[in-house]
Amino acid sequence: MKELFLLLFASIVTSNIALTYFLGMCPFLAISKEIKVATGMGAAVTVVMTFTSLANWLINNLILLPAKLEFLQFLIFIITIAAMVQVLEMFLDRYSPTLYSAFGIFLPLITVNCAILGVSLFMVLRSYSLIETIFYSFGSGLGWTVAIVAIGGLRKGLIFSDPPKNFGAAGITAILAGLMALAFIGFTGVVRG
Amino acid sequence: MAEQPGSGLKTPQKGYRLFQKKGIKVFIEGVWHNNPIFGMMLGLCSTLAVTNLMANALVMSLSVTIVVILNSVITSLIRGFIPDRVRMVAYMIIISTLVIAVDRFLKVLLPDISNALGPYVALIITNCIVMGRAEAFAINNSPGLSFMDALGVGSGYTLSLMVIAFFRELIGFGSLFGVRVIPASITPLGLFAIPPGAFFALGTYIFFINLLRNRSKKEKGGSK
Amino acid sequence: MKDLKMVLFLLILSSLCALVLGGTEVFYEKASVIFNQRLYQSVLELFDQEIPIEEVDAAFSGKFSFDSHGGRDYFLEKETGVVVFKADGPGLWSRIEILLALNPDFESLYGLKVLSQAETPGLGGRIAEPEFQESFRGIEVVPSLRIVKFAAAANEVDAVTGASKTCEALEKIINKAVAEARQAYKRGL
Repeated sequence: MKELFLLLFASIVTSNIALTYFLGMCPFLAISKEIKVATGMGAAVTVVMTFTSLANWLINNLILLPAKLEFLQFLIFIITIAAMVQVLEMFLDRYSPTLYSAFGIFLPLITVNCAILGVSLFMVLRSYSLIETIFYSFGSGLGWTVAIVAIGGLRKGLIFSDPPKNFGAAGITAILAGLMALAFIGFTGVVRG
Repeated sequence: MAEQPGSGLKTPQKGYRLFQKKGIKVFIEGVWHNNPIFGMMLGLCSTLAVTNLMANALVMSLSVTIVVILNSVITSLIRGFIPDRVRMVAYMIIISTLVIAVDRFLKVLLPDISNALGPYVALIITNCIVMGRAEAFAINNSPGLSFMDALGVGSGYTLSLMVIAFFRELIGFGSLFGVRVIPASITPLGLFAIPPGAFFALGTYIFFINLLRNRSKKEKGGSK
Repeated sequence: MKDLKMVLFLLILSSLCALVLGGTEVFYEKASVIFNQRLYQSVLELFDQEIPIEEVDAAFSGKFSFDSHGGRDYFLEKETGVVVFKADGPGLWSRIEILLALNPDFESLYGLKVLSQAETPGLGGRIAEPEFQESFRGIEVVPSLRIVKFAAAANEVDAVTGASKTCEALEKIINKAVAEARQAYKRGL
């Protein structure tokens, strides 16, 4: 049990999917400075990530591996993700307008978010079990959310400073992300194997 | 650059020269104006991940270039047949197939680099560059021009990645393509070898590119 | 009618792609032959024999007999009874693939070879260095193998400085594989 929580902690902090593995960068650098928007997107990503990883684990271990069809993994994974996002969007739109307005609008963007596919790929690469996959994907979603909300907040504070113009919005965000990534490394010693 | 109206192929040479001129224009646009890294801010995930070593960056950017070229050309060839509503799905199927093929080839030909690139080759599927060029250009243009566009974008991507990787490997490991060039007595700045260094390298790269662009803008009197 | 066109298009596209992928797999299968040859070459190197790749198949089947348990191939050296097998697992940044050679009593290692890794160059990547791999010769694996800072006991190996995560991962891979081998052969338990 402890192992699982360590995995969760690690995926949020020391192996943060955005700051350590660079996944889900596009919305990272383009996202609004509004914390609300960032949180909404983060919630959407977390939900999609967890469900799709679960679905992909099941498909991979119950169908692809026994049938020796591993080479179709990438194709099947991306199709599963696209399908689940569609289903989720329709479901939210139908049954929960409040939730839909909170994060439903981000769903189409998420299909091509490399973080979602990336989590499924890492799950395969690291041979996670079903329960490990759940903890890992949920943690990764949380970690991504933490990173994007923090970056949003930092960018908001930028109006009080005067970085060199040539960095542009993207450049300075990259520097900020680097500093954050550096800071997160400090957490490595907290968890002792 | 003045747009020459398509005069049809009055003589084969004229048509060919027309294609060459427009094709080159499209190519250069791909490398500079539409450069994935500093022009369009796309495909950043892999940029950050594979630029730690020049060998990795080279293999990755060539893989992306091959995929974007093939995808753009194929999309352009069948653009008359793709039903509008399933455009995105079609792109995904084609791109996934191409990426799986490229990944398999890499596993056989360059197994160590394939292991180093890990899941990032597969992530070319979600790389916005590939789908972006198909949607923005290939679906509405001839295969020839689509090829030039894809080649330009791919080359721009390769250029950016190699420059960033050059500095990251040199400063972070003291080597180039695995060959140690900085004397062993000087300890490399390990910061650039680890993830935060990727962000710093990217930010710095954007800074210098913008510097160049703004300077050339000033020299041209504000016109692009 | 429009829907039919859509479905038809997707079906044709998917079929073509499936064909392409099938072709790729066939190519991959054919190319995998060289994977086996490289593996055999590595096994022979572990026994201090440098054989050129063309002669590997013959040399290998002369020295080793094949066995298989639980989906894993085991190579038994005919003279000494040393058992060789492949193991792999996740490292910090990549998949680490190794060759393990167990002495017949399954209580100590004949040797270890790192076949594939892509860990941090200069740190975790140093597990690929011959000296590190040599340090595994004769190391005991009871109750388990340990990669530690200052190796003292008979079942301990010196870790690579600054590569604790990679060494941890390697240790896990080794112990798991040895346990599986013990189960398979009912030896050293």
